[in-house]
Amino acid sequence: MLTEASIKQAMSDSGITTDVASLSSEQNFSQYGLDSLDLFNLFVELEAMTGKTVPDEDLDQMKSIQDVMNYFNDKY
Amino acid sequence: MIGIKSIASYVPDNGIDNFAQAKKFEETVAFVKDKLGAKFLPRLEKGEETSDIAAKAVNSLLAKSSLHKDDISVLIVVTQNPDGAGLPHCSALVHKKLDLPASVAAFDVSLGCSGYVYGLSILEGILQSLGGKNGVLVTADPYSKIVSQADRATSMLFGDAATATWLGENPKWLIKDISFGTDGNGADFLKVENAQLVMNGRQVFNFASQKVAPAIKSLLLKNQISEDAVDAYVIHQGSLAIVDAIARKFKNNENKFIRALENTGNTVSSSIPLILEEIIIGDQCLRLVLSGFGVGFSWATCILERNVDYVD
Repeated sequence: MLTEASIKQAMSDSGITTDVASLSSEQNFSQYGLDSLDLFNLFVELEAMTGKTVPDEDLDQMKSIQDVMNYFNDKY
Repeated sequence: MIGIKSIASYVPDNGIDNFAQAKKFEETVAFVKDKLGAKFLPRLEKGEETSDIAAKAVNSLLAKSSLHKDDISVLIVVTQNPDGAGLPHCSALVHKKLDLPASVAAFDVSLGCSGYVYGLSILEGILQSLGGKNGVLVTADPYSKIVSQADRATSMLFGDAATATWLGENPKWLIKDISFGTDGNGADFLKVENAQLVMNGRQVFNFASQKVAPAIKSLLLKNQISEDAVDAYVIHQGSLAIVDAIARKFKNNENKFIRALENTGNTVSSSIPLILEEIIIGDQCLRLVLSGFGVGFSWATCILERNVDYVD
């Protein structure tokens, strides 16, 4: 089960340099400056953590930490 | 013993300001500097063909080394963007432009970003079967021929360049070991359709970040070499973000991964030899890891070691 803390850890592990601890789970990724390559990195990390593969077409559903939690925890 | 004796290159002066290009796509300066890594993308000069830049790289090699045209027995050109439709093969055109002897074996290798490492192994094998002699491995894959300037996924990444590597006896560098890999399931993620390059950036990124580090670690383990005992990791410069993602898998050695695409971008099979020429070949490094990876998907990894018996 993914938690806000584990997603933030994945963000740090994936090289995202934003102050991850201060992020709100509802905030849109783009609002704190994450670009497409940051998200590629993040999803590589999340897929490795969960053993799940996220199809390309599902990526657009996940625009915040809360969205990511909902997606993984509802789907798996 | 066959190995690398010298490397030269040709990079066109003509090119594109990547910051200006990024502005067109509403990308930030930070994205260009910190993620793509390339502020300038060289482009073929007007009228220049793949065989032209290949010949220029070989001429540069001939000018800087003691290699003579008459001493060349094998010429390999790594390209997937040859002159015309690829018939005749690009290496034949380079052979003609350089006026090389009729005894030369010349052929193309159709590989992308893994092509330099593959090419080293192919040329080493042929030269060994010939009992020595000299061969030249050329990389020349100008993606500007297939990149649409309107495509945000590819137009900010690729630069044109060519390199020429001399392999022969009494080399400065020896190939200690090499490994290869292919995953044809990735074929659809980077391909040419209707004469234009089409890339699924996420899938290419996933492939590189998942396959390359294990391939390097496996080859080092097989050779009982620790990650710390490598002086520099010279991997394909797909983008700065790709190099960083792979480097992160090597805790304590991240800074040994060379980042050198600021003035060239991703030059496909030329990215590794450009680094070897400019940064590594003359310094005090004793052991290098090379890794090329890309279209196919295809990847190749090798360990280079300085030849302690080299006679200058």
